[in-house]
Amino acid sequence: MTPRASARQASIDVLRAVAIALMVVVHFVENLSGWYADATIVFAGVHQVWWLPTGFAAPTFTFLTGVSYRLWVGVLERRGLGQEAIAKGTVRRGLFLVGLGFAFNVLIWLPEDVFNWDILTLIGFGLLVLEFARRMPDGVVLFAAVLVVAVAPTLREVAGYSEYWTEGYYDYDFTVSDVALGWLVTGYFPVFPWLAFPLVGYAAAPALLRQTNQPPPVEQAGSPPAPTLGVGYLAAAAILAAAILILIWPRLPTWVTGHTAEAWAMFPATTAYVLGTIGGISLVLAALHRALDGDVPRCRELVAWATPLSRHALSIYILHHAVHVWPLWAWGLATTGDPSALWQVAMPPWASLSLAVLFLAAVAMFCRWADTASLPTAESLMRWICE
Amino acid sequence: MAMVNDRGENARRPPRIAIVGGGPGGLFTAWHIERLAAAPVAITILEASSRLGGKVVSPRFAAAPVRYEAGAAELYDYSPVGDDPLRQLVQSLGLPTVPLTGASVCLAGRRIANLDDAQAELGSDCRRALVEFDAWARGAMSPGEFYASGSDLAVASDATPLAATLAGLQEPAVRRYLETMIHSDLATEPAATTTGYGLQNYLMNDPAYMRLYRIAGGNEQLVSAIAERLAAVVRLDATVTEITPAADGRLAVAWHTGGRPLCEEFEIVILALPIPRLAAIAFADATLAEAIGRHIAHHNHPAHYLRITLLLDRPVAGVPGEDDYLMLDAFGGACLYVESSRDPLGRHGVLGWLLGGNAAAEWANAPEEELVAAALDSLPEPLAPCRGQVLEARVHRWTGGVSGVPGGWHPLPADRRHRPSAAHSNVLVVGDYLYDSTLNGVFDSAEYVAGWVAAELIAAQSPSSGSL
Amino acid sequence: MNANDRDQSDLKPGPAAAGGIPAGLPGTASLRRLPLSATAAIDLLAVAVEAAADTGGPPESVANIIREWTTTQSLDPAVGVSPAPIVVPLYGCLVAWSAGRAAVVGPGERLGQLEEAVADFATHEATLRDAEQRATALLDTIEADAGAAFEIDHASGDRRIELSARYREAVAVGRRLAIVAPAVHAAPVHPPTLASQLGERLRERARLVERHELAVGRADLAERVAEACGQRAADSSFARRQTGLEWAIVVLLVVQTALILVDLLARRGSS
Repeated sequence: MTPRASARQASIDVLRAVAIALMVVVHFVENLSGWYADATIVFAGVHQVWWLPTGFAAPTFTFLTGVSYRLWVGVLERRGLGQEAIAKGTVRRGLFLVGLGFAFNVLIWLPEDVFNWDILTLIGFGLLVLEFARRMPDGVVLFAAVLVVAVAPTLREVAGYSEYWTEGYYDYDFTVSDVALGWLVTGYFPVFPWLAFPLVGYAAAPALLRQTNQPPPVEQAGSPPAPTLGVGYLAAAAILAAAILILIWPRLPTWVTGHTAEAWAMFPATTAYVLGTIGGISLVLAALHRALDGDVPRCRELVAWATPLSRHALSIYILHHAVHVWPLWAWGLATTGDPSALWQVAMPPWASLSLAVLFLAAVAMFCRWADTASLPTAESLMRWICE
Repeated sequence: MAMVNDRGENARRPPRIAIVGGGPGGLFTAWHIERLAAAPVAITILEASSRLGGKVVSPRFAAAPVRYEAGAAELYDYSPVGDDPLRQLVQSLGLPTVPLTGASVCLAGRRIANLDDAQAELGSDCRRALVEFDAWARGAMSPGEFYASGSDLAVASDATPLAATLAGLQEPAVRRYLETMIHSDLATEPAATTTGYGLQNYLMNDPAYMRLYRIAGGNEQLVSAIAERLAAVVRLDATVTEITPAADGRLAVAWHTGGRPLCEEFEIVILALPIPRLAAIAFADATLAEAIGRHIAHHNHPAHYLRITLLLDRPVAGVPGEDDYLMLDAFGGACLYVESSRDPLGRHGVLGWLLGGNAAAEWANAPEEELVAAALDSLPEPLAPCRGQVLEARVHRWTGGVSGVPGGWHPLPADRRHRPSAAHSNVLVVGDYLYDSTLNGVFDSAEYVAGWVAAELIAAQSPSSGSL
Repeated sequence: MNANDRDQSDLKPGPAAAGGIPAGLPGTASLRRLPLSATAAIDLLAVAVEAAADTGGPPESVANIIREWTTTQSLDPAVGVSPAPIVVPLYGCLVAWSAGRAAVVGPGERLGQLEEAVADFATHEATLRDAEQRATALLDTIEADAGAAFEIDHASGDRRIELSARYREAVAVGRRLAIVAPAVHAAPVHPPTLASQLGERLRERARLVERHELAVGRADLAERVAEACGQRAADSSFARRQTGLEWAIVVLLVVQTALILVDLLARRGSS
């Protein structure tokens, strides 16, 4: 088996496509039906739409950012690109995503939400950090991730996290200190602890995906690829640690819990949440790698649909917000004069779910066609600007 | 008194050195002086014959362009034991060498090449006796002593006549075997030399002590290569007749070339001649003449060689064990060289006989045909077919050409050996007879004298020297 | 197994070697397989025949058969292509040798010594040839390893096991060459025996000394390169640990800075 100079990993594409699907479904249902009260059909509300798989898409995307970055750097190095060129490409992409994140916040949400530190700005900053992380030994990168997770509760305590959150939304003043604190600790996706996801993804990629840097051993050519067992043990240990934390959460000191009542929470991202999602995503990726990657393509149809979705994840992220949020603002403005009048109460969950599925089907076909028709996308714009 | 005692207008001229004799001794001396001297020297080599090289001569046959050794047949390789400056010189000149091996001794038509043959042909007692003799010989002279023999560092060797030592052997066959083995190297008779000298000639067959080699294409290439690299003036056909003291300590050397008398003055005269030629020079200074006379008397123990070489019309076949030489019991013990043995592409064979001692002297006056017939008769059975293959024969007589070491004879200290007259420090002597009558010996002699000369020249040219 | 380890039972009649005795030889001919080591063996053909009076050696017809037989490729696949045979006429005997096959011809009372000498030589030559081949194989890798011997990067660090194996192989080859060196450089025996003379001839004709020196040089070079690679790998590993420690300190300082920054911003925000 020859080293893959440019081939994509089917496991990553499938996992990212699943995350896209989860994201679209969660956002459509939450934003359109999160508080829709229709007791005869389903329970509404974020915590009452019990079947909604919230909290898994963002960790997956940020984790896969690190994994994909490791692969991308490996491909560029095998092509003979110098370190300076790789650094330039990384920094430009990072800054592009940070800028795109700000623009997204202004255009999709409100101008005052520009510094809410959403996932795009986190991923952009994460790329800038990974540019330094790739110079460190993997052990140090993991150590940094552990520190990021470990100090996050203390930082939240020091920063007064709960003061910036009202009814489940991040609210800040336009001051340098609030903006900086939001970036570091109190925003939607602050550096602490969300930076841990791309760092762990980057450090664990070689162990998760054996072909990351080197071809497989000759004796294993042709047989299903297998991640190292160590990764499996660590992932299981992370999940176990999360479970233990959940069990003992009430008895833990505040520098661990950060005054967060629930052990498993996305906002703020608790330690148990971070450990549990990292462990789970690692195991899922490892399983998909063993099942789908290797000499012999498997589940070709599934991969054929997943790959275009994965390639256009950024465009889909922007597009799906525009598709369901802008009409919401417009209809609210048109009917009541308040753009947020229909926020989370626009339709029953089954309707929003159906819309989500329809959107996914349409965007899946669109993405396949976009590749062949070379249509402009956010990704092509990024490549055009950054290369 | 310093060799060079020159002041005034001659002080800035290069010292003039005359080397009488263009054989290996003269050439080696010139070579060493030119390399050791710290300042230019003007060397003149005066050679009586029409060629340089003396006993190192590798002529060609007329019937075919094949070379053979008419004089020194092999060179001695002392490198297993110690420094071998002659071998180093050969290597530095880029001359290819070929090892020579030969273990067979032919007694009455029976070939004895090893102890197993000795047991089969002579019996177990003889085998045991040979082993015992060898052990005794190695115990009597270590490789280091063997290496140092002939030098000032030599341990006084056994001066008992060799014949007496051999007579002490119980087995006549063993005596005969040993006599045959060493006779041609002795160049004299066992009765006329010491056990120590005989031991040397026995132990030279032991690879732990010494090995033999020749220069591929002819040993004469050695002297030719040296001559090409000398800056010295060479005068051939120059027979030196007289050496006379001249002004300021110089010496006037008189010689004639083609009947024309010539004379030149030199600061130093080095006599690199065999004893008979040395004795033919007149020395005007009585003291010097007396010293030279004593020198000759002490060293005049002439030994003889005779070489018979045959060109064959085809390569030699049937050489037992692919030996390069065999020892025959003919002629009182002669060495038979298969000179073409290491030339796989040759279309001719060359066999060479080396007779030594009394046999060489007795056969020296025999007609060539008789010599050749006797040589062919001495061929062992496997080489008998060669009798009908002779194209050309050559005979070279080296009567008195080397010096034997008689019983009871002790070498002089090196200084006295090379400078017969203390009153004439600028008259020096070089010769193989001052050492072991080998090329290595004359090389050592030349190196000794050259070192002495170079040191004196440096001292003479020093500003603080009283001689300037 | 070296010559000294072989016991006399090896020279007694053993199982017949493959191929059989060539036709045309006298009835005194015998053929057997002589083990040289755990993996190498040689077919040894012995023919007892008196020397001819005219040539002093075995009859020409026997000599020709012997030469042809040893020229034929050895049937032992482990030997591979056999080098040109060495033929040594020796004082009424004839010995022919090639890798995998050897023949001794001579008077019956001399055959034992000749077989012993041939067996000794063949053992040492087989050992040397094996070491030669392994040294040459190491030579092929030197150029690829030269870069890692100069400097090593993260990717090369993964080659530590491979480089370690190469070093051990180079040392093993050097060891085998050192073991066989005394036999290769054995000084000639004096007074000689027939066996010692044969051994010297065979060693000279097979150029064991030159081959040994060449193999030693190659093994030394491979060992030096492998050692340098190992040193670089160790240095790299040490440097990476040092670098890791430094980066860990940097990370700690960054986190500490973040802690201080958050504290400052929080105080500023609340004031």
